[in-house]
Amino acid sequence: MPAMNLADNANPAWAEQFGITTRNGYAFPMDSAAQLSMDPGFQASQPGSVSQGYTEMNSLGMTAEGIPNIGLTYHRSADERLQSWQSNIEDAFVNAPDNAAVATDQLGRLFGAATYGARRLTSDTLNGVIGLPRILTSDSMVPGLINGFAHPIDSTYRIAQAVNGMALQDKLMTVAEIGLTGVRGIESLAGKLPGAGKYLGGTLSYGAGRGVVLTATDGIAYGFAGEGVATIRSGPLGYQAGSAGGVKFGPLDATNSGTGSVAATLSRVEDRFAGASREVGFIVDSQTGDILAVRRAGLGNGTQISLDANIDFPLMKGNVFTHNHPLGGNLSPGDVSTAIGSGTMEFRAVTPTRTTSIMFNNAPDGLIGEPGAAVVFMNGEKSAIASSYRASLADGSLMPPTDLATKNVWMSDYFMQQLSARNPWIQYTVTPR
Amino acid sequence: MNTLQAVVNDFVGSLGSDGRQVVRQLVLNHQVKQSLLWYKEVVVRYLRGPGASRLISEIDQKYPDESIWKDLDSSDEWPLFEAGIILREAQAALKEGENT
Repeated sequence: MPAMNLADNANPAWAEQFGITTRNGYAFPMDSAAQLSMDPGFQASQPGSVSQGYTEMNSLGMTAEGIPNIGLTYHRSADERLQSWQSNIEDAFVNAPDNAAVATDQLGRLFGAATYGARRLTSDTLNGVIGLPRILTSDSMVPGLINGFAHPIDSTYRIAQAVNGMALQDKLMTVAEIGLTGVRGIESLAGKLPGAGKYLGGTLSYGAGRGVVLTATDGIAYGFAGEGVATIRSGPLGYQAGSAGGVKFGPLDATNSGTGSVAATLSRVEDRFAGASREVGFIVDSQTGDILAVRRAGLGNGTQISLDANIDFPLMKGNVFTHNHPLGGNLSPGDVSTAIGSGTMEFRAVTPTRTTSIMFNNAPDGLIGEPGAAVVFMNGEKSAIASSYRASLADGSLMPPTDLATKNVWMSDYFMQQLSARNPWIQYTVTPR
Repeated sequence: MNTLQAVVNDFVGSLGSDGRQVVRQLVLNHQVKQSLLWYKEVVVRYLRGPGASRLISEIDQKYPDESIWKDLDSSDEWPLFEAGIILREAQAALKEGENT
């Protein structure tokens, strides 16, 4: 696995502006010698294979002078880089440990948490938020990657430090990339790090709104915190990515575990994805504003998300689901079926111009949280609304647009207006953006 | 021969015992990942190529009130509304067969 990619950035001037010094083609973190007390026996990295102009310098290591260095990987083209990342991603998926393995990891729970979190975030980020080409275009990815990889001492802190100050998308991407490139370096250094003892002997847990919490041997709970921190959970272990207010790793208390409000989370993700060409959905905790899951439409069907009835519906129950509609339009009948069937507290669809939303109040028995019953209900509503639609067309009170795209938006508006009018327990709102 | 009845019969006949059980209990919502797999299977098998347009027309005529809204959830590339109708008819056939 290539340690990192500096394909376009292998000149000293570029490296130094990100806190990297270079010598003889190697790059060195400026402050590493002072900060790290690494095992001097740790071997320096060695040049890898050279073929077809592709030179690879492998991995994190230590020079004879005791200066840690980071490996450089030169790739000839964006395609090669992409291929390399894809390979890494597959590797991360395959090797991601399960929760139990992490929780009982005797090597070091902190590192288990960090690597697990990074891997999970890698998976979810790349699966749910950002396409691979983003890797090649992110302005802040590479410096974040270098910073995170070159400073693998306190990995969770470093990950937080690496992403601090970036835009959310870059933060997610950067953490994902650190996960891809730095995980093995982190693991290999576990146990060699000064001051890590209290972490290594600690216990790993997780809490709502806090993601991974490490209780060190001094009894203090450590985790991520910060203004506007969004917890992204996937399964019982969590990890957090910072937003505008920054994020840091440190002792948790009642005042710094905040994860931002629901409204803040919705505003942040909807602002970012309202105009996206691919459909992206977020399940947001209705109490804390945590992002519980992110789902993205597949490449072959960019306008449609599919949701796992066994995984996503339980997460959606009682929480908020928001997604974008790349083709415009209101909530669709399928959206309403999903909203009712999953028991979602609020179901939202956003476009660049508006947000449409439904919530439920005093719904008929046997509908909310019942996917099959929700489908039957909506089939009945489709038929009933179609009858009034035809009647209105016949008497001239309705004049649909003739343009197909405009007509679809108009039809979806009509359907939702009629549906909410017929069912007052469906609280339907439209908010201009 | 691509009538709705013929397609439903062919689809039901192609299912093994496990497949019958799954289809019988399928939630007919294409936004559900587990269901979408079956929607796509039906689309690929019956709603593309020669005869598909005739089948789609038959479904439109048989279920006009639901068909009115199909463009809100469906597309020409993935005619999920029609696939849902085929799956619904298949469910009915399976349940009927179970009761006889």
